[in-house]
Amino acid sequence: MTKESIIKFISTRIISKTDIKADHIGAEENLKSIGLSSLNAVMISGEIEDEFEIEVDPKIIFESETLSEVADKLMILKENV
Amino acid sequence: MKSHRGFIHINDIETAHKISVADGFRSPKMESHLNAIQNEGNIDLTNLTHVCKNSLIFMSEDRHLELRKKVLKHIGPTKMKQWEAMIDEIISDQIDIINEADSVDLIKDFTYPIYRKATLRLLGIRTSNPENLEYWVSRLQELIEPLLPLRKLIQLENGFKDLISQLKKGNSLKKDAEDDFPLSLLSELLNWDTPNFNDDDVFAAVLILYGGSINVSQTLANIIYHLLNAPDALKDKASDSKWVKKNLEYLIKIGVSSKYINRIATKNQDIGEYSIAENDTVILDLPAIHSNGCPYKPKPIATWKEGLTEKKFHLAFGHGVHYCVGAGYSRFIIQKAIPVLFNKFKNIQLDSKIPDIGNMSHVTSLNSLNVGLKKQTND
Repeated sequence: MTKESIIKFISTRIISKTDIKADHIGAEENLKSIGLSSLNAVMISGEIEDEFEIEVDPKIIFESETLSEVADKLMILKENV
Repeated sequence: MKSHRGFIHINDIETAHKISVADGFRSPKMESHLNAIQNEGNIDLTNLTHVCKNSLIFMSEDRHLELRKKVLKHIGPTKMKQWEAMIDEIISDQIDIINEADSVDLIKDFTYPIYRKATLRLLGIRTSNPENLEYWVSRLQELIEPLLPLRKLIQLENGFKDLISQLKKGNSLKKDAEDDFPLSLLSELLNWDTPNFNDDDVFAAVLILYGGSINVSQTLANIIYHLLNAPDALKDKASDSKWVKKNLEYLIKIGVSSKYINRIATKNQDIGEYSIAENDTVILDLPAIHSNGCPYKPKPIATWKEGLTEKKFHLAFGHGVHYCVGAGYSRFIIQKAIPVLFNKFKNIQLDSKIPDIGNMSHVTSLNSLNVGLKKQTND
């Protein structure tokens, strides 16, 4: 599990669940501008849990400014498992 | 607590009050949120959705008002007198149990059994598996957390599927206890002639009310903890029912177990210093709003004096159409239980100055409340 792999995974999930195009999502993209819904956050968090075997609170997506920040927080969670 | 995108924490009582009375907010639509998750993830959340559909916290408009009116007609504040003898007896029984015990945990031996016994009878809940009921009902409070993780939703779904099935089985076999008290709420609702609530809805609604009522035990325990930590002159007054009645609102304000009230903005609006966008979740942070500070830190005499005389207003039971239907019931029990306990055990003391604090993020509660008593052998 690397920061890059997390960002790539979440980007893929966002693209599949929203109308956002791939070239509009990057590590430093402001998540506010993407406009994820509560439903998106719950579903993506569930998929992150399955993929990386960590427990993720969906609020982490709303509490972070960028995908890079989300990935940093998930790395810390994984280290503490 | 810090605000973040889509979630605005309100920490002052003026703004909280304005939001409580404003038109531009609604309850969280948990039922539609869960339906969307079911559709998106191909996950079965049927039972959980059904529970939320019949929870007064998440309901709105006509169906909400209809159930609310019916519940208040049966267990509202004006109806408490008819349950008084039952509640007195339960409190008295627990006092006797405490009096005989070698060691006393006031949650295990006093606040929780009072809540459980009185509420089960009042609501009419019976089950063949009480441990299962208590476990899943204790987790009902998780539902008020915004953005509950998928794994928890699935756990709750499996638990409630089992629980609802047991509850229905238990109630098909028996009738209300044969005593002199009124019909239980469940019996009343099962006889209710309304197209908006079938029997399954009624079971879910009563289950939610039982789960929500656990606040009575938690808040009563918190108040007792604060009184045990109060300066002696104040602690002594807790045995006086008139003093408790007079100061009940401040005691509830400092003891309330619910931490948050969530409202969803239905339009863009500015309230106080906050710019709130449509669909933002506004979280009324009760400990901050009530200026309770660190929840179990002993309060100095000046804080008690100020609170008991001036700062009594609180939002512990919410406000407006979503004002807690169990508020009258909670007040009734708290008002009765405190003076009986402090009167019977004049020298009651905490075993430890370090509180055994529960770990639920959305509730201020204690796991245990161990005390020492100077027991009385006669009345």
